[in-house]
Amino acid sequence: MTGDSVRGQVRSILKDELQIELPDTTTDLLDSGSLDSLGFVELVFHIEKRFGVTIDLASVDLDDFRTVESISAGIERLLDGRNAETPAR
Amino acid sequence: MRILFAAEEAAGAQAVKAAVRSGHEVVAVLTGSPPNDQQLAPVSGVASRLGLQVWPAGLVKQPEFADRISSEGVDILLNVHSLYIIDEAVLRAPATGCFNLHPGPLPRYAGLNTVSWAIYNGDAEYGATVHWMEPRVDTGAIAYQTLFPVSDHETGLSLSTKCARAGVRLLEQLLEVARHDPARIPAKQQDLSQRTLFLRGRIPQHGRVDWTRSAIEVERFVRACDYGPFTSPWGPPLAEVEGRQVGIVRARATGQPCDAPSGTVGPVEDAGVAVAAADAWVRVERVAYDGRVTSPVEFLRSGQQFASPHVEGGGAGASGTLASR
Repeated sequence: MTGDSVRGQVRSILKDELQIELPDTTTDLLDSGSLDSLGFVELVFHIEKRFGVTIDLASVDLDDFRTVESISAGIERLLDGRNAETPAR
Repeated sequence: MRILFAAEEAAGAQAVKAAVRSGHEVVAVLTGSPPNDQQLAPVSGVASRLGLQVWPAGLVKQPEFADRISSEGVDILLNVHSLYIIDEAVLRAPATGCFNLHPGPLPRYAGLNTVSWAIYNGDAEYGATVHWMEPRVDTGAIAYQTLFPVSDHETGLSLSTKCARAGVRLLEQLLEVARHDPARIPAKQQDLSQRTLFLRGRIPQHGRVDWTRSAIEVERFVRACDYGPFTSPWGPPLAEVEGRQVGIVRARATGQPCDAPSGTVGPVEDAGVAVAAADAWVRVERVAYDGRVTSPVEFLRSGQQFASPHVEGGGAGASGTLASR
């Protein structure tokens, strides 16, 4: 999955599931007041479901959830880690 | 199945969505958040967008609401993180029953803010419970329960999210069984001799850091209060240094022994400021001060002394170095 694809899906989750539309991928979701605690938990749920990953909130830096860019980078790391564990056929 | 929800918070929103996705008929959602057109999504907003009726959460306190439940043909009332005490007549009204999703492993950790209490107490395992509702809070027979590990980096936010995630799955399980045969819904009586009830307004150590405790105890208290970047139910634990009130937002026990008096500010490094606990240094990484969250490096200096309920007299300058983890 490409970085553009991940970013696109993150923006889609924010728009379609959380009704959050952002001017760009570097807007701070928290500082702008776009994301509250309920929205944050929903975002985690939707990311896990859409990308088939599990986010261990105890181990991540929550600053990774501030922008579409940082969220996408975090998801790509999770996907890379998961793919690395899958033996090549 | 005709389902009535009393729902708040993220778990409530997710539970409502899960019920709709599963094809159940949601009669209405009782919630305390008023409908609005704002971008933020309280449960009422989620329910409205799904085309569901939104009713005031306080209806559950009224005995006459039981008649409406009966006339609507409600099979199950699901209470998800709503804190209203449901009237006994209302509890008896749904055809199958009323169920509560409690973010905790009953009978232990009944009541409020139990996620934070579990971290504060250093529990290695926590859980979520769906139980039949009785008039007394969190006492009903258990229908479903799941347990999961608590990591040594867990915060209030991370553990609450784990509970919400696990709890919604339990509700899905309940609804699936209820759809086919409600008589098969389990009902395991709780051993109430094992129950601890945590009441509203009860905060460990009156919300203040006690530097005379062990470093890991100080760290656990800070993590229990940590819902960052969002508002914590308890707020950050407070500490006073040279007349200034500081909230300890993030801190880690370093495991490095120290012999400085408890509360003494030790080495100041980029990653944070060391403060002496009873047995080891605690690295304080983020603090709330003067209306903002910032690094303690901005204003703490080695040799300063945090007040502690069990410390007598001032402290000498700190000695020793603090190696990075």
